[in-house]
Amino acid sequence: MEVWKKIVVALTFAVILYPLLILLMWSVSEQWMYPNLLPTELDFSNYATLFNTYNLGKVIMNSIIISAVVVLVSMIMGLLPSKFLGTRKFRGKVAAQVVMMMPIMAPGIVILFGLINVFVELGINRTYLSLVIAEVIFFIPYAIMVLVPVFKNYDVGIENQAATLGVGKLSTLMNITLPSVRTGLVVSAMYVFMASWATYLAVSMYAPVGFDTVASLLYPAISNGQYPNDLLASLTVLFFVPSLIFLFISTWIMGTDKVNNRGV
Amino acid sequence: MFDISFLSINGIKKRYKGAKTACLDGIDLELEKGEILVLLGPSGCGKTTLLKIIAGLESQDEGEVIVDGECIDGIATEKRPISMVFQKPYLFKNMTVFQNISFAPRINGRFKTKEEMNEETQKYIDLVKLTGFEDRSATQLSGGQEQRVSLARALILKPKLLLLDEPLSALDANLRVEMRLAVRDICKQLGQTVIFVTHDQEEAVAIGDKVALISEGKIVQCSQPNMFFKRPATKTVARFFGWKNFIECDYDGNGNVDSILGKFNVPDCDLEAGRKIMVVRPESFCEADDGIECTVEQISYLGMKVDYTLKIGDQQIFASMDPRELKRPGDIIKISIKGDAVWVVDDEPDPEPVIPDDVKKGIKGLLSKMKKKE
Repeated sequence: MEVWKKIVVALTFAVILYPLLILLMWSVSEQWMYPNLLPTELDFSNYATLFNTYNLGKVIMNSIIISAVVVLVSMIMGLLPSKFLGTRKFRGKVAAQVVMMMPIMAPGIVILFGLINVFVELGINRTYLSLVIAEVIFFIPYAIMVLVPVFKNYDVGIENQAATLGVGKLSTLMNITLPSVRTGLVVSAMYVFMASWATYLAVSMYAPVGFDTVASLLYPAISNGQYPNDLLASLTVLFFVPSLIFLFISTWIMGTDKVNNRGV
Repeated sequence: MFDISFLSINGIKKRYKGAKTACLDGIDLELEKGEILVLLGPSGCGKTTLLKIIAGLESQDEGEVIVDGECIDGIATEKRPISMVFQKPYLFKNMTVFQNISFAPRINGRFKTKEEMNEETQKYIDLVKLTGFEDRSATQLSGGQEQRVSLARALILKPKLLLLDEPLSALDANLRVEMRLAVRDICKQLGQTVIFVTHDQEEAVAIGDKVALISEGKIVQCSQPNMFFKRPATKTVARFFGWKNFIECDYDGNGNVDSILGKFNVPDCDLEAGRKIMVVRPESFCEADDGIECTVEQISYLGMKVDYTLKIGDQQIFASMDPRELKRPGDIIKISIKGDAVWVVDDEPDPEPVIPDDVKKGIKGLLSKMKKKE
């Protein structure tokens, strides 16, 4: 690689990583005063405070469970429409796609506010169920948005092949269809997980009273300005950890898929 | 006691929504156990649709399919006693060769023990000559190997009927010849009843015990392969099988033909008397001193033989002969027909040239561009 290209790449990384590095250093520094370039002393007390005082362990668990449930439901519900839109040709396909993408296109508050009456009527407002339903309605389009292009490259002929070998529909789905679109499913699931992990609006409107997620803790904390920056930095770093984990997982899965699909 | 065929296809009709003509227009077929039937025809003649109807992937408008005495219409594809191999091998990419072949019977509980699964799967791997490839990923096979896996995967189910939909058409020429012999050998070895679809007449006659030629949704001839070269049923069949000379003649209804090339005898012909078409293959001609005089129009020298375009009066003759003495355009040559290698068919209008849709679109596009320029 030429020198100037190396510089451009290094600068790009620096621009992306700079804010993260600052946050990371803030979160683990006791003192970091001007003109020191780096913190003078490492200190993890901010993390200890978050876990001990604010019960962050439970909050992270809440976030993981809610996001995992939302991913599972969104993937199950989004799979068939995505396959249909990706593999079939029919009149009104574009219109159907636009309708499915409405929750993304409309402002979130509009979609979510519209659900209040329904939940109240059903007597499930501010329950775990209302929270999951609200998030699923909001995030299914994200799942579909990723899966439709995946299914455009999927040849349904393989399902006919399975049928002519006497393989039932469920076995075909589990053993042939899903493994065939594995990478797309993982990316889609991670996308929905991250979106759910970061959502604040749905939790603030529909979560049971006293139920917190990392996002519902972080956003108000930042906006009301009552908390010290180093504590917020620690919370933000923890908020970012899943993204980092999923980035590594997706890179690894795509890498293994490339190896598996290598031809002779 | 009636003879009941192993497979009976009775009066199958199918017209796709919005289509002007029927895709299949009253197909009747009979097949005995262990026979290989080849469905032959040009692209778009309906042969794959017929296969899909038999497999349950399409439904017919009329007619019925009976396999081993049981009408299978209305039975779901996966419940039919039929396996199918497609033009694309459709291997399960997330599995190895062994897993691909053992997958369907394992899922359906056909194996009682793991040992039985290993033994049975290995038997079919050996049969298709893929020994040593058991643990190879399905993504790491050549085209021929992929089709062998696909064939073994269908055969291990021991289906009553095996459908092969142009399984060799994606392979290169040499591999095709090798594979068609392998497919026939394996199916005959297992006594497997097969319907094989192809548009390649050489492949059809090499593989089939019987060949059914389909044209415009109808079976125009179903017979042993050699009959297409001796007794074509119609002018369409003759044209498809390389009969190039179509000469008007008088037929007396008793096996006697009178034409510009002389008088011939066609004892097995059951046509009524009248004005007919005598068909002759180009390779049935030879030079003869007492033959009929023709004028040479064109010559194509091909080494071991010479293709001549000749003329007798207004009649053009295509002859493929051993080069005795190379003629030039304008020369006179005397020819005769070896033995009685002629046949008589009813006259029928020549087919309109079929222009593929993409070519039509291209022509339309060009014309509109030219108009705009003007």
